[in-house]
Amino acid sequence: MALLRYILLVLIISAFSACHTISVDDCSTYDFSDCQTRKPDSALVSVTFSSSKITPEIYIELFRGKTDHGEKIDSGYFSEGFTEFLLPVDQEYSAKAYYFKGKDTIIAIDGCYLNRDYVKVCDSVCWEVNNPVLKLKLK
Amino acid sequence: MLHKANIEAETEKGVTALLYASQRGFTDIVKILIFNGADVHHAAKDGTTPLLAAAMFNHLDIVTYLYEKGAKPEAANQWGITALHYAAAYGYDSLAAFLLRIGFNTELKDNEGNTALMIASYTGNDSIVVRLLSAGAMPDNPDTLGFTALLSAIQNKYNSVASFLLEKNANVNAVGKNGANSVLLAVLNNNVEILPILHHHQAGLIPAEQSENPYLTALRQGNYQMIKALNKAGYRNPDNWMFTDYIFSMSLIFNQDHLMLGLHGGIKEAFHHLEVYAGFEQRLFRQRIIMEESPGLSYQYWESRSFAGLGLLKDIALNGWHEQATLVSIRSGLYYTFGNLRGTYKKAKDGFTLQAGAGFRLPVAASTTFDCFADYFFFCPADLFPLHFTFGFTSFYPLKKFKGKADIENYNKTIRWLY
Repeated sequence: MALLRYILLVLIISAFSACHTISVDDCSTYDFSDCQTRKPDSALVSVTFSSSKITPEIYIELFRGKTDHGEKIDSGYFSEGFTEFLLPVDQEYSAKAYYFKGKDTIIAIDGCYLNRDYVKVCDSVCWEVNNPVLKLKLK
Repeated sequence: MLHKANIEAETEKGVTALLYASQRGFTDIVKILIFNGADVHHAAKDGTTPLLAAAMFNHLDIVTYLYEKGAKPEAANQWGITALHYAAAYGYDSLAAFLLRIGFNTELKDNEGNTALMIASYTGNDSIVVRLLSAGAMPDNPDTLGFTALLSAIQNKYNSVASFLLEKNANVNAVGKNGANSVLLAVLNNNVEILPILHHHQAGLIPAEQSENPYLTALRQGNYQMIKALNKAGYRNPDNWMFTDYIFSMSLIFNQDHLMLGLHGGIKEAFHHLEVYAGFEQRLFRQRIIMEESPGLSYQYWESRSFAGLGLLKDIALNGWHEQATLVSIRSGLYYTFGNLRGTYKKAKDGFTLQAGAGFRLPVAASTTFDCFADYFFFCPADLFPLHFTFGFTSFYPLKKFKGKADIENYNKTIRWLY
């Protein structure tokens, strides 16, 4: 039983390690143009929302953490149905978009985690971010 | 003969002219040879006497003549086979009648312990069975493995012979090879017709603790018609529940609200065609939902949702129970549904919901079915469309003791010299 656990642990660790490594046949010919070697401290979080001729601008609030108890870090009116925020990585973010239809109000909420990770290619470490999108378009 | 030929000359297998002529049915030659002093008792190297050779090919007139000239009618060859055995095996009714008339010992056995009655029952020669029993043959004289004439007849589906033996008080609860009784042999050999006769004569279902339950045998054979026949004959399965297989299914579940992946595992009870299962279903993609907070104020969230629960399923065969039967199924379960809303600590609606569904299962491979179901979820706490449609596959993995069909050769009798 102990041996089985050990084998399982080794397999899990190996799998994890394998996720962070890309095998390349010939490192001298590999295209490293997409490889970001500098560790990013911030990245873009996109926000999509419904925008129309009747209501071209939508009020959006951005939070670090969840909308309930998170810290509001930005707010304002945005148009064109899309915007982006440059934010510190390895954090959770959420947003609210306010829609008003006559006397009715619909608040669209979404959240994400801005994640930073890396892969090893040959001798280089290439950093990646998940580029999350907060989807606040109305159903 | 005038030239003093050696009348007893024999081949390297010990076959004399008399033996040869007897076997070939050359009555006149037989008479001439005997007149000239041929030895009626001389046996070939395998023990075959002229009388036995004549009996083998039903030359009654030669058998009669040799007997009158002093040949021993009960002489056996090296396998213990006598003239009466041959008569019983090949249906030589007149020969059997003659041998019995001259007082042939009906209880003589070959090397496997077969009496003439056993052989006649095995080969279904009714008239010879009748003659032998009328001559006082013992119906329950077993062979070396415990087989009786009745078991032989049942195995080979000679039910008129079996019925006659039972009327003559053959032991209906005789046990043969590896504990096989009459009912088990009937099930193994798909002899449906004999079952009501056996039940009428109070044949027991399971002869001993270590013997196999015939219902279990029928299940392993996938012979659901036999289970029905056993019940119809008046038998009842002493094991009320027979859990036979583990089941595992994977499916896609969808409706206008979402698409889910479902995983179910459980156990099948083959006797009542039931399954007990545990299921888990996960929405594949988050869905937007709108929750009204107060009049005029609503929130839109991205919701993930899962269902976990237990259920019971009953299969009904559309065209009779057999291994490739198309099944209509009904199922019911109790599920707990729970979810998660992105971007907020607020809880998604959760709670218990009752599932009721129906569908059908098509066998597509050995132990695998393709399933289609429609399920209705009552009292679902989440605002979901209550009707779900499911498409998936179910695989059955037999429990250890149900693996493999019963090996019929472990139970059936074979009389080798007949083939």
